[in-house]
Amino acid sequence: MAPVAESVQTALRVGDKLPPQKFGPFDLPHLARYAEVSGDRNPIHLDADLARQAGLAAPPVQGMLLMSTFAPALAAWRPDLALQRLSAKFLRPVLAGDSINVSGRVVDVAGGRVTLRVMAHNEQREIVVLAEAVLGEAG
Amino acid sequence: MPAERPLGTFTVRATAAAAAAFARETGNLPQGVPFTFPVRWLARPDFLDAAVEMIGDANWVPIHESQSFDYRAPLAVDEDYAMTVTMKRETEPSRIFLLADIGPADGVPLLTMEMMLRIVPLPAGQAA
Repeated sequence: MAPVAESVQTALRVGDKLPPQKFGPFDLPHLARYAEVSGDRNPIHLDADLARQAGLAAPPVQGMLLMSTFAPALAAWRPDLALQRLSAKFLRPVLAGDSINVSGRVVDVAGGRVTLRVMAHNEQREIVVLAEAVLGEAG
Repeated sequence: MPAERPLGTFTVRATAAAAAAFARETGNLPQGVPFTFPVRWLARPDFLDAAVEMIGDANWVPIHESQSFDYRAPLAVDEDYAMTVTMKRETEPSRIFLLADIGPADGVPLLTMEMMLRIVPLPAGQAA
């Protein structure tokens, strides 16, 4: 993948923000549709009884559904850049019916790449997903 | 003690219809293969069977703890790729890792991804 052009690197600075973008709410029908298109058949995302047995008040949103919002959030911010690497930790469950806010900050602009710390907050403003994203110039 | 098992090499393909459906449900633009789409290829029943065998029990649910994607180039829709997968097992804490390289059958991988699942035991008789 192409590195970031010099003009883009010049325009971006450490500390620049990925503005918050809201995704959701993720209701149970959405979780079921995501299970269908992703093949993630883990019943904990669709079965309230099973979720309770795992100590959750409601089925948790699939972590990959949450993580999958990061690419469109980054593309909306900088359509001239392409996501190349994304590494995420799922810190807290997001329960069915809740929304998230995706935001971030540039932490490095070097070596032809832009690196951001990206996070998703739940409605209680807790970080639920923490990620590092590396972008290069869109091909 | 970590254990590791090669699960094999599999032919995978993102059809235009499957990629579009995935994009629709995840807020991605309906063009190309969505960035996280390849995780779908890890949702195979035989991988679940391998995890049950490595864990030695079916009475658990997997909780997704972390995930990474490292692309060298984008994947194309309606194109066959070879996916080579390895499963790793850790016991303290109880986790399963899936490591996958995806690319042309005779070439350098275009994508490397790693999935880490925490294994949460269920009460007896409550297998997921």
